[in-house]
Amino acid sequence: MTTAPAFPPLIEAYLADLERALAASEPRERAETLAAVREHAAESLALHGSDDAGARRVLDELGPVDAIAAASTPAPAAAAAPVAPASPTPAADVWLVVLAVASLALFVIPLVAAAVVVWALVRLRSGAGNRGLQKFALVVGAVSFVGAVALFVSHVLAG
Amino acid sequence: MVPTSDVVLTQLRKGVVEYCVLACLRTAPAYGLELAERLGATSTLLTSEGTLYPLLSRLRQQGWVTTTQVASAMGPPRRYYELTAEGRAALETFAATWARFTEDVRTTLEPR
Repeated sequence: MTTAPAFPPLIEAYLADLERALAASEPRERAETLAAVREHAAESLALHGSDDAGARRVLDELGPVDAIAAASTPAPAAAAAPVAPASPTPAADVWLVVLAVASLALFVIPLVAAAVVVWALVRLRSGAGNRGLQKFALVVGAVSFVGAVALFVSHVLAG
Repeated sequence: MVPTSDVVLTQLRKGVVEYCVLACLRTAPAYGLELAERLGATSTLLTSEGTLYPLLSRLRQQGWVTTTQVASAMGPPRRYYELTAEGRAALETFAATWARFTEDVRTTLEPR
């Protein structure tokens, strides 16, 4: 088994900087580059001595960590953000539809239909909830209200 | 804007230096420091010796070189890089194309 050689503090600091500089690089290339640079440093220190002068010489050879990072391949863009689950239909919109259908059945009481129309408009303007259900309730409420008005007018004319 | 020679060199290195690495391995496998010293001895091929290593990793992932760890008498084990048959073929294609390309560039650049 091979143990990682102990490096002079200057080299350790450089390797830590390099690891940070490669944070956005392609992971396999990053790991291989770090390993190869460590080997380069170990080999070069063995040749030139691991004192301060030797360490500085190794750093001069390797060059700025930013230059190495610039030569590396960027990691592929993070996986696309997961699609947000469809938000559940708010209970208010379900009740709005129920009331709209009820207003159709009870169109002789236009107050219910008027309430449905107003509530549906308020919900639509808020931009929240299920717009499909809100539009459906608005149309049903409006039909119900028109029916109630038509019934009232026909009674007046008949009277 | 007039580009500096560094900017021109950065552009020229793209797609060229990797073949210079392959060329260094044409006759025999070599380890990282050895390759870095050979390529770094010139002033134009590498920005710095450290920039060789991301390139070597890409060549390995591409299947153009393989690596083998070999014990060293004078230090830690060395990672030797060796040209594969595919890498050799890529180098031959590049060398033939490069000869034509540089000839055309030279002819075009010559004052008339």
